[in-house]
Amino acid sequence: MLNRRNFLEQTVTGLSSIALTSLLNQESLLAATRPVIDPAQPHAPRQSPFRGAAKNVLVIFCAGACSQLETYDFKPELIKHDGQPLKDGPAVTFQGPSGNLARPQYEFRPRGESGKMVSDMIPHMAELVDDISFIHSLTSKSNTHGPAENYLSTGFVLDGFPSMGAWVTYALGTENQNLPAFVAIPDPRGVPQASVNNWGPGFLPAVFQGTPFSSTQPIQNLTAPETVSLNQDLAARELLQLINREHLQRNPGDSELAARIASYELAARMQLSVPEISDLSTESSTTLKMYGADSNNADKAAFARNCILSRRLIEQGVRFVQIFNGAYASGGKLNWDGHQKLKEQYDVHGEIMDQPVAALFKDLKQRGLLEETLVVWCTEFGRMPMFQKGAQGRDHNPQGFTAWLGGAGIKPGVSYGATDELGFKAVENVSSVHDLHATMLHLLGLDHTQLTFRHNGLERRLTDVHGHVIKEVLA
Amino acid sequence: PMPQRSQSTTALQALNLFNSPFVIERADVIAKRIEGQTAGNPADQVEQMFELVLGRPPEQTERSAAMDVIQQHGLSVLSRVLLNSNEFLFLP
Repeated sequence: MLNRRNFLEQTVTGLSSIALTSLLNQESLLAATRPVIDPAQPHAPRQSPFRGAAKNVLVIFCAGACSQLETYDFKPELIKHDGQPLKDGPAVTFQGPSGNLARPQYEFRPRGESGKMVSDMIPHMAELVDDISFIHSLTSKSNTHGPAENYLSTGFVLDGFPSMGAWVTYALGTENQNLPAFVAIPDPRGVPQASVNNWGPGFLPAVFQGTPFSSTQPIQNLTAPETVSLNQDLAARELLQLINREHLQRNPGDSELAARIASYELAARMQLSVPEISDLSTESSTTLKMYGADSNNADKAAFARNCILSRRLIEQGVRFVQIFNGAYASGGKLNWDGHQKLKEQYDVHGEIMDQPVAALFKDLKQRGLLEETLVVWCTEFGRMPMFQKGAQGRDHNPQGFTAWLGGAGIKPGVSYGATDELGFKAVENVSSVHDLHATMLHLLGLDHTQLTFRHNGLERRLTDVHGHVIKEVLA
Repeated sequence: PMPQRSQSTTALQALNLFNSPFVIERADVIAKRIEGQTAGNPADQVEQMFELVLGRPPEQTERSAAMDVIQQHGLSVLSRVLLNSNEFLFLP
């Protein structure tokens, strides 16, 4: 009989069971889009949930905060107001008291067919403008290098979260089973401030961590010490395989043991594949010259070789390559952190970055690799339109900075978002690093809200609980 | 259905354990210790090496493969292998 009490009871139960069903459905939906990983083949290529434009990613990460005002964010008003104080500006910024507004330290001129204004610091990279799209309104959650690098590489300012490359290889595996799925290439001058966090696995399975090496720094322990002969090495490998396989037979179905055998097998293949991919002697002199690998400037030549290495890795089907331009915090000496003598230091850094990065992009394009490779140029934050008091350099500015994207799935020639007329703050289509990440995952066929890993009771994401795909830059 | 953090191993770990000078040096030390205990008899050396590192005698196939290896390449190859074996590193 339906009285008021029963009615209420049934309705409430009914509603909560609807809610429960809906929750369960969501759970199974989530589970369905989580990558299913065979522990014996953790890097096997996996299909993305929907068709993405890009297969591979190349991130060019400028450590130290490369100034938007000396590269791509042209501010004629800043020239007009050179030497004046910033009205209602902060008295103190990250490192100390503010000085007066300072004009861009390089001339800007229109480039390519689009006429995009780019500074004379990077004349070679300026030639790319018709092929790439800019986000001029990025913002960071931190004004400190380490946390801001964490944020850009992992989506969180704290340590301990998986890097972009780890998320992507967790989702998609990799095409080439002889090389690492994710390679990080530190600058020849040193590692970035947040160091291994930039390519760490966080709480994802460690197998998805980036493997760091470069043209100047080979993989550690890639080969045995010279006291061990080649024949001893081969004999050891063979015997180890026999003993591990027998052990696996006695302990069938243990995925951990199979995974470890797989890691030894990849290590063995890397002993052959990594020296081969790092050997640039097969590159033509035209190529070496195009990148600037023949430069008398040792840092530039070494960075150019890292750029060639990046192309070779992408060419061989490595899923995610993150190459760094700039090292750790060093008063702007070894990276883009131009606090004191910005122009003097940027003359040095610009020379190292410009030609090699431009050549890398053009080389990917001429080999047809851009059709399936997404290229992202980025930096952890921007710099202030004022100089610091008593200095010739700019302080940290997380409120508005520039990144660019090119290649697979990108609509070229777009300038999305803007900072104010002095380049102090993003004011139009203000974007976060989460938005950049969401866009990158989207281009790989991954929904940033669905790519999750359960950790400490939470379905963790690269984008935390944020992020919107920036559709305006998509082809 | 997916490997958990603790189950995951990487190629870099494998390279470190297989090639690092530290592990190679430890393998040499173990080999010297066994050589000191066995007066040059390869069968004894294989037996004692398995007992020392894995706490069990070798299986028949392991024994004959290990004998071949140490006679051709020296005893430290065997200690290097056992230090890298899943059985030494994991309790399944």
